[in-house]
Amino acid sequence: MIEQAPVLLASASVLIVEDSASLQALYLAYLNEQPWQTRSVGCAADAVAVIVETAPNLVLLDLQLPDASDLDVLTALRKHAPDIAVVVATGKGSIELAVEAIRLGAVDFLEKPVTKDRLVQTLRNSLERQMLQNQVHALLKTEVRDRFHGFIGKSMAMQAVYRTISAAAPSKATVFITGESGTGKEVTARAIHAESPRRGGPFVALNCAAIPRDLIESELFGHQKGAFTGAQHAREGASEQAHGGTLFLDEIGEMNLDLQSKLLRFLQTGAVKRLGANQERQVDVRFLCATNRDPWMEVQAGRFREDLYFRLHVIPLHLPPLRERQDDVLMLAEELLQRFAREEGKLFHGFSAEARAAMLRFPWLGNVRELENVIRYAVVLNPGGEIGTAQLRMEDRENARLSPRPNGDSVPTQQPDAAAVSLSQDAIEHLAAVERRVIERAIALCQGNIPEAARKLDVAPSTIYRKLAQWSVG
Amino acid sequence: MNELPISMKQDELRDTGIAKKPPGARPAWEIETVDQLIKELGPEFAVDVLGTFAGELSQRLSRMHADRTPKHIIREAHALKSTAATFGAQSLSDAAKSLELCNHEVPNEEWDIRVDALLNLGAEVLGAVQKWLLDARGAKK
Repeated sequence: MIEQAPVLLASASVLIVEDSASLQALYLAYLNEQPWQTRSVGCAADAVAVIVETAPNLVLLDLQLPDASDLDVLTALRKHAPDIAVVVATGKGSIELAVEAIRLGAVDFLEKPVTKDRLVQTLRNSLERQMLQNQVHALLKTEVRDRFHGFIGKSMAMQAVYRTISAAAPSKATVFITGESGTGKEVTARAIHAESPRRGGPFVALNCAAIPRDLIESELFGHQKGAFTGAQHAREGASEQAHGGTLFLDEIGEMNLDLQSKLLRFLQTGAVKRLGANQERQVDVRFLCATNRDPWMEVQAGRFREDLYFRLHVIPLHLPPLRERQDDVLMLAEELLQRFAREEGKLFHGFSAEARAAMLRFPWLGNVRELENVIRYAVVLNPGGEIGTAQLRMEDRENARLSPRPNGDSVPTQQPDAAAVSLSQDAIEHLAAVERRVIERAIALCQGNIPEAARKLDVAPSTIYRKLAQWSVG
Repeated sequence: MNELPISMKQDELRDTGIAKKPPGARPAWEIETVDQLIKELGPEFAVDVLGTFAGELSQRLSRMHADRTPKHIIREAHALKSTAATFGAQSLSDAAKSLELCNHEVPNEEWDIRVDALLNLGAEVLGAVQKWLLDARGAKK
């Protein structure tokens, strides 16, 4: 199928298919003052070759060519290049043929002999009509999508994300995904894989924050038997598992500098060397990576190699936080409510007006993941019906952010409330200290179950693993 | 083109659509068309395009002279019909159309007369165009 680029009248291209050399010359002369690129051929075979090669915007077609019967070329054009406008030229008295041509998809016809004014006006009208049609098609193609490969949302911010994913997917270029926790970085990576020509291959995700640092290299590159204590069997790493597909390195900012240099070499050569192995293996992998930090700030801080940054930062894709997707909050909430209700075997009838207003006001610092938790909580603890503000218990979540301190103070993580403002300035703690205390308390209350603590804190487990690692070093 | 049969009897041309022009009838090649072409294209383009027309007409007449099989003649007549009308040779266009429409469904003798008439008229048009081109190119020099 020959695809047409949208036509700008000034840059349109026209092909004249006419077996009479003098008529070709005349038409070319008639169109000489027009801004269009115009060329001519004298037979159907040449016409097909030029159409395939250049995909003109319009073909002026003589219906009776020496190497094709009356409507053959037109029929073939409509089948293989339906976006190309065709104006047919017929001899005097061939009106039935012209009518048949229009029925087959020609946009207009010219009866010979053709005057200059008639030729120019007919072709211009046909090109303008095609330009409008192409614009309509382009608009239809960019229609607002409310769902896209696991995403739900029709906000402008998400439309831009969907478009970037679609545009980036066909290439092998690395996409560097950034965004806060809970904004959908892995969903994005999976969407890119699903839209890419590698969709039939494996998608392998490796969360660099969720794996102890001394194991990341083995997870990424694999190991030979006996490569280290406990390596009882040879094992291929994520790089080899992703051969022919996509390797997604999540929280890549957690990778230490030594491993970053090995990753850089892998990116440059495509060669993988398992831990303890002498031989390298060549793999064909498309890289996607993500971080919830500002990668350039990490480079500036010396925590991320600049050369690796530039190697990976080919197509940046930033995911907007939910608070910047106000248009999507209620749509997501309704979708999640019905999904969780199905899972729990319950029947809910949506949200009250107050609940909807409350959800729109809420800052959703944990993004979609936090919204999921709120809705699941309401579905699990309630029998069904309409969800109101009481069922959402969002005030509790607000209060949890102002979590009580052992001495009875609270920790403002949002707008300071009146009580907090009234405290002595001596009560102000370093934010990092507050964060550490809250996380450690949550882990203790969950008997060391980090995923559970993460769920209660509305953060990704990887965030907690990363913090613990930082604190153990510091 | 000088070998083309140009000596046809008046009665042989009857009912062919190309009857001999009475005094005052339009010429084989209408010079007004040239004026229009010059107006639309400018003199240089007009000369170029008419030169192409003369070349094409010469080739078609030669091919028709060499191969008088009905299928070939009809195909050439079809092409000549539009081209001749476009460049001001309306009589030639009418004759070509007449020949195309009769589709060899006439006695051979009449068919031959029609073909000869068309060739004759074509030669007349060609001569007129070539003369004009010669004058136009000479005037340019």
